[in-house]
Amino acid sequence: MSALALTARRVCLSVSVLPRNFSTSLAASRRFGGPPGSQIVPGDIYASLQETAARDAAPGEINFAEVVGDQRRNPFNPELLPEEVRYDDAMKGLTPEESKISQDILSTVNTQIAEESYGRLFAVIHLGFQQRRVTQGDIFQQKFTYHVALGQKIRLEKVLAVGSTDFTLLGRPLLDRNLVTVEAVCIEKTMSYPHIIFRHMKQIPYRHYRFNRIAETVFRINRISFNRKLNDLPDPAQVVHTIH
Amino acid sequence: MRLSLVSLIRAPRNAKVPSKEKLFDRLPIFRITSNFFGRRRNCWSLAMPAAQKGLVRSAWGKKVKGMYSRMLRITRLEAALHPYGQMSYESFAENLAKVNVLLNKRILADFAMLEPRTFKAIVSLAQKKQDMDGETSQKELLTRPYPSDLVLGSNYLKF
Repeated sequence: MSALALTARRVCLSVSVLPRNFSTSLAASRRFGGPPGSQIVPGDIYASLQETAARDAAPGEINFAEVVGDQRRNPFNPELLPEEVRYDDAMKGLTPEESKISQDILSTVNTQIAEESYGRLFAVIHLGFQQRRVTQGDIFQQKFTYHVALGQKIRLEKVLAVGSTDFTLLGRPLLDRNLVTVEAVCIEKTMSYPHIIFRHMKQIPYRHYRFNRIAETVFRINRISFNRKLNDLPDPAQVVHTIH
Repeated sequence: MRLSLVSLIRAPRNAKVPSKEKLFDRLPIFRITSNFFGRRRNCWSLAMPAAQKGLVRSAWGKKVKGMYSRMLRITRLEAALHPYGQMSYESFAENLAKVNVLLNKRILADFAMLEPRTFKAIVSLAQKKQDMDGETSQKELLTRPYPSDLVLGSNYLKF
């Protein structure tokens, strides 16, 4: 540790102080973007978490330790996520007039969902660090490879908002997974045209060309539809881990 | 591409025409300058620096494109907020983030253009949250054409 400190003083490197139980596998993966320090669990607590997860799991419940290898790197591990924000019932602090209006609105929306008379739906989707507004029949192109076969169907689950002519539903930040289905199909997997990256310095014979080709995948949206009505509790068997 | 073997064949006998080997090496640059103006299109000593400058400027533009598009969207949202009172874009974005509505600037600008009803609902949401926190001034309240009572209830906007 003293040798590292000397180099830091001379060369102004960024040296991070490592905790005692830091594993070597994660140290290697940190170069390529591992989890932040707050999410790295020390070894003593990690072992106890595994035991409690195996012990307390119900027969139908998914044990993340079995599904994904390293529990510390799984972003869906509920032990590592911050506390869930549970919003209070929206109907609590309403006056009788407001409650009447809200019930009318919900009933009209639920009848439209039951009869499927809402028309064309749009959805706001989060994919590849981008948000897109998408309808049925849309084609869009996404950078980089997705490990999906051509013709394989996908379900896009991170839905931020859904809307039609008469109503829109805004998620805070995401809508429930079991409320809406957005089905897509992988159409095409190509490389882009060669983007020329040219580096040049004045008054020096330095010219460097790079012909950069990026992988692209093209998706088409097959359909957007509702699975259930509003304020219907979903089946507990279908719920894995929802963000309310 | 306007430079071709036909134009070389039709050139006069004493014309200074490059050899085939030279042309092969210079073709990639002439393909970049095929739509430029004047002699920079076909004359090597003028085409080479013109192509280099064009490539350097296109790289600079790609870097700066994100900045410009961000500025454009913010100006569009500022303009879209005018008919709903004197609300500033900063308070609009701040209150939306407090309410956990994490929609993009791109999506919000598209809503303002193409879905004005949802944009009106989003703006009234942010105004309601601003009222609950007590950060609206009397001056701003007077400029609002629609009341913030369109948003029902305050129990779910506390945090």
